[in-house]
Amino acid sequence: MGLMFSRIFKNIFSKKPIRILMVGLDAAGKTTILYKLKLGEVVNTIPTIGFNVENVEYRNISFTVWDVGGQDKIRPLWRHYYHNTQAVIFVVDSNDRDRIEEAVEELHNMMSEDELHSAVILVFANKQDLPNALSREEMTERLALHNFDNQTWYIQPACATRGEGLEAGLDWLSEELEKL
Amino acid sequence: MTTRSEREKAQRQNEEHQTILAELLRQEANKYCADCEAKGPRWASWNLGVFLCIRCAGIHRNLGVHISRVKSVNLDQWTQQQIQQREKLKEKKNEVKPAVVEKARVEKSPEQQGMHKAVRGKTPGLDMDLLGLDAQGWNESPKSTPTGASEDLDIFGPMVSNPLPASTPTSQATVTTAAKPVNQGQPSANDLNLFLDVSTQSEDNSKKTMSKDSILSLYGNQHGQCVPQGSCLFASWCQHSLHAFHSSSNDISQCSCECSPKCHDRSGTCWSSRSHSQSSCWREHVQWLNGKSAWLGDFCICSWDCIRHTGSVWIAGIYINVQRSNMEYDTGESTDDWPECRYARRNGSVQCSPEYELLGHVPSNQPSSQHPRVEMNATHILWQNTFCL
Repeated sequence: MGLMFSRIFKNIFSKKPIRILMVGLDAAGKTTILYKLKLGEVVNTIPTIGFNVENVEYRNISFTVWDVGGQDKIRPLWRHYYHNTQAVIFVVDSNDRDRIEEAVEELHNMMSEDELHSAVILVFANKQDLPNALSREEMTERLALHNFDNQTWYIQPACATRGEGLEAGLDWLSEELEKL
Repeated sequence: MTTRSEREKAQRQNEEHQTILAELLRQEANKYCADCEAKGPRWASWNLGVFLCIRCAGIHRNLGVHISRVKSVNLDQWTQQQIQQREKLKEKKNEVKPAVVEKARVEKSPEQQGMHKAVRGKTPGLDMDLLGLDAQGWNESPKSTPTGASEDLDIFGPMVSNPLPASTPTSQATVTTAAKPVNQGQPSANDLNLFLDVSTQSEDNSKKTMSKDSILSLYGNQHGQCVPQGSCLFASWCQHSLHAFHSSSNDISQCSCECSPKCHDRSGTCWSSRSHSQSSCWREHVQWLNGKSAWLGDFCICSWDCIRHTGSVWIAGIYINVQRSNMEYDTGESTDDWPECRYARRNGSVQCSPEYELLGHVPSNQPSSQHPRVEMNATHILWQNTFCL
């Protein structure tokens, strides 16, 4: 009985955490972003095999951010994380021009999944500090973001190591998620 | 949509590439990370033409793709162009150190060193680097390594997927926070379908010491037959060696891959074709965490979390053991590196985990063949089953 009450109580008063899936090609900077958000520090990451998950409190919203490894052969695993995902953060290495096409393919494949049809997309054009970084406009074009006419998306240039752009991205995300 | 023939062709090509890479890795000079000289590199910078350990791979990635382009030997598909760099890899033989070498030298964090001390302190005479961070430590191992073990693929090398925080205090924080959802059914994770079945009891259950019988009952096999469960991972790590699993070999690189027929019928690799079983995988993983259910052995993803937490997908027992040994570590020397996994790997799966000797679970002077009989030695029971020793 007590358990039931506590459950009801919990349902009324606790805010359901927002579940965010962070994906992108390998070495895009996902783990760095995650821990920059969580710890405010730049960690020396190693390639993620599997996933990292952290709760990030931001503007009174509790984001549960799942950062999933991006190596070729583990990308098929992303789909296991789609269910109940309210937002997708897609991280792109703006400096890696050679692999933009690959990123486009992954992004569009992913967003065509039914389970993500109502998810909002935040694209971090990461590594803006590096020499050949694509600008926001170039990136928008290369990623064909305008094709997502049924989905809410936003592109945010970022530099995870300096922390630039991350908060702006989360601001947008929290605004969008509050609308839901 | 790709046709079946295209897929097959791509797969064949991929297997070819894997073979080439494996060959390169067998060369003496490529057996060590170009930067830190850790043994058994499983990553490569294909534009620089060097093989790297996972940590140095992380450092190379941080430099940006205009300097170094990192790929995993196992987890990435290599293109023809990248493979063509093999000549470069061959000639340079990891001897040429790029300019990033100094930067890339990985220092052990203080708590890891603390761990070493503790380990050494408890086992006089067993002066080895259990964390596998220091390649020489393995050479000094007093236990004889089975022939060919040095040729073994570094199956666990690339599996430690935790970031290495820059400072010590955050290291603890990172490890523990990241570990919560799986180990403890953290409230926020309860809502997530991946851990649908994690009840609040899972914390207690997962920490509960499991007897040999209960562990064996998880697997429904007590006779040392081939139980393919959990060895799926090998299919991806040793793609080039798709040998029959039931070849009676105790060589990890030889004994692998056939674990999941369902996976095979699609692509021959577990990684790329397990969509059919994901839901049950997760559930079973969780059930299994609770100690109530066994893997059915027909899929691969099951303990994805285990990768995160133990560097091991395939051996349930290791996971259980690590739960236990983590509790030991939690008394002040927490680590997210799993010596027992590494040790087992290095020794061709025969030896007992040093943790067990360390913690007194297994008599250290016992021949390895007797280890499976030892109470609580779940690792070895499972190793036995898995490798058909």
